[in-house]
Amino acid sequence: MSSPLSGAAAIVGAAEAIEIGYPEEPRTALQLHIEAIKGVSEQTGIPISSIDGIFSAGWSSELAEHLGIRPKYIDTTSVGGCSFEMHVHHAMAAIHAGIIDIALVSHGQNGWSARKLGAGGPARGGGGADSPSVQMSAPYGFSGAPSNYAHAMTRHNYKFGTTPEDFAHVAVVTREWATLNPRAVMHSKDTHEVGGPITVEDVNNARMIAWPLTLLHCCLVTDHGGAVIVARPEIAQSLKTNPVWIAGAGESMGHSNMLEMEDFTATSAHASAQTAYEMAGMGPEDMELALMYDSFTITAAVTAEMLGLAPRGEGHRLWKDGHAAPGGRLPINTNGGGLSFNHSGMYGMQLLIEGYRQLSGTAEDGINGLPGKQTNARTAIVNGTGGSMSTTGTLVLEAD
Amino acid sequence: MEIEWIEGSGKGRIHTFAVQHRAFGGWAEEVPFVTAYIDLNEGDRMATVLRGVDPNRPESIKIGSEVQVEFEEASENIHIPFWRVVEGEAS
Repeated sequence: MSSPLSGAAAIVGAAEAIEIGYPEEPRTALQLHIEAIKGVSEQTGIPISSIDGIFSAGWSSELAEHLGIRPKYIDTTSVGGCSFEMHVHHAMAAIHAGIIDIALVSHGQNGWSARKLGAGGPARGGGGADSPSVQMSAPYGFSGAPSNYAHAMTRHNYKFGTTPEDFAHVAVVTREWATLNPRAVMHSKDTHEVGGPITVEDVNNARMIAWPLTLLHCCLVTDHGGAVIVARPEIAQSLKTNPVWIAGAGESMGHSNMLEMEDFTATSAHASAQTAYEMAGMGPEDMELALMYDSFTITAAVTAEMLGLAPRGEGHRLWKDGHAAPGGRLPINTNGGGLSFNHSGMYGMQLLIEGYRQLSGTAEDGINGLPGKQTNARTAIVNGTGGSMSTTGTLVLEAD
Repeated sequence: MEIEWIEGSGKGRIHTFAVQHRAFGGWAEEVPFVTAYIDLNEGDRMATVLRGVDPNRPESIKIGSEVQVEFEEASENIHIPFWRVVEGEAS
C-alpha cells in the first residue's frame, strides 16, 4: 500500500433493506434507509449510538434525526449514482484525519414505489429546469437518462466500429449472474414474469426505448435500501465481521450536462481510477473482480475501458468473449447488475454491498458463481458513474 | 472575462444522434423523433431535434453530415433553433 490513506479505513459491514426490487406494498425511501441501517448495526454489533459520521445523498440530517444521533461529520454529497463511492472516499479521509471513528453510508430510494406514492427521493443538486444547460436540451424532448446515453452508443459505434449487438452481450452475461442471485429482480420466472436467462436476440428484439438502446440495454427502476459502515482499523479488527480494506479511492468529473461532454465515448472514470490505483499501489492487472455501473450496457462497456480492464473500443469484449461471466477470468457485476439485479435510480450502494460481500466471503456460497455466486476474489475495483456519464467515484477494495 | 456576441454561420455537423421512442410532455406525441448533438462550425456544441431525416431508418443518418440551422417561432419572444441535414444522407 503506497499512500498513507491506503488502508486507513475498512468497510466492516453491509446490509440491505428487508424487501427490495418491486415490493408489493409501496416503501418510502426513509423506510428503506432505516431497515438497512438497522441491519448493518446488527450485523457488525456496532450500536447506532456510536456512529459519529453520516454520509448520504441528501438525506444525512433527516437520517441523523431519525436515528437520534448527533454526528461530528455530516456529508450529503449528491452527484448521482457514484455518490456512495465518494462517501466512502470522504469517510476514509475523515477517519484518517482523526475527526471520526465510525462512518455510516446510507442509501434509500424508492424508484419503483415512488410511482405509486407519487413522490420520489431527494432531487439532485442542479440539473433542474432552472439550470442553464438543461434549458439547452430539455426543449428538444430529451427525456431522462436513456435519451442521453443512446447518443453515447451511437458515437461509440461510429468511432470504434462497434454495433448495438456487441453491447447486447453485456446484458446477457449480467442476466446470467442474476440467475445466481435470489435477491435479483430478474433471477427467474419466479421473481419476475420476464426473469431468467436471456439471449442476444432477446436484447435486439426488445421494445425500442431510444435507438440504439432497446429496453434490455437499460437498467431496472426498483426500490433499494442499503447501508455500509466504514471504520478505523483498530475498530475494524475488533468486530465479528470481516473487514474489507479500502486500498484506494478516487473521484472525478467530466461535465454535468452531456452538452459539455467532450468525448461521448470516454468518462472521468479514467481519472478517478488512476487516483485509486495509485493510492492502492495496484493496477488493473491486479483486479480479480470488477463491479461497475451498468445503468446501460454502454455505460459498463465504456467504464471497463476507462478502468484499464480492456483496450479502448473493446470494453464489450470482456462480456462477449465470456471473461466477465461466471467462471470467467474477470467476473463483472456478480450481483446481476443494475441491468438485472436492482437499480433504484442511484446504483452506487448496490455496488458497495456486493464488493463487501464478495471480498468478506459472505456472498452466497459457491465457487466462481457455480452454484452460488461467491467468486473468492481478493481484490476488486468498484466504480460508480453519476448523471449523464458525468461524475465518477472509484474504489480499490482488498480482502483482509 | 470579456463576453461578446458573434454572428454564427448557422452551419455545423452531426456529432452523434439517437432516435427517441419514448418522451414526455408535448414531445410524447412526436415519437419517434431524432435527437442529435451538433458540432457548430464555430466550435461549440448544441442539442437539437434533427430535421430532414427519417426516424424509422436510423442507419441512413450519418455522423459528420452537414446541417443548417433554422429558427422556429415558439412565441412572440422565443425562437427555437432546429437543425436540418443538408447533405450526406446515404441511401
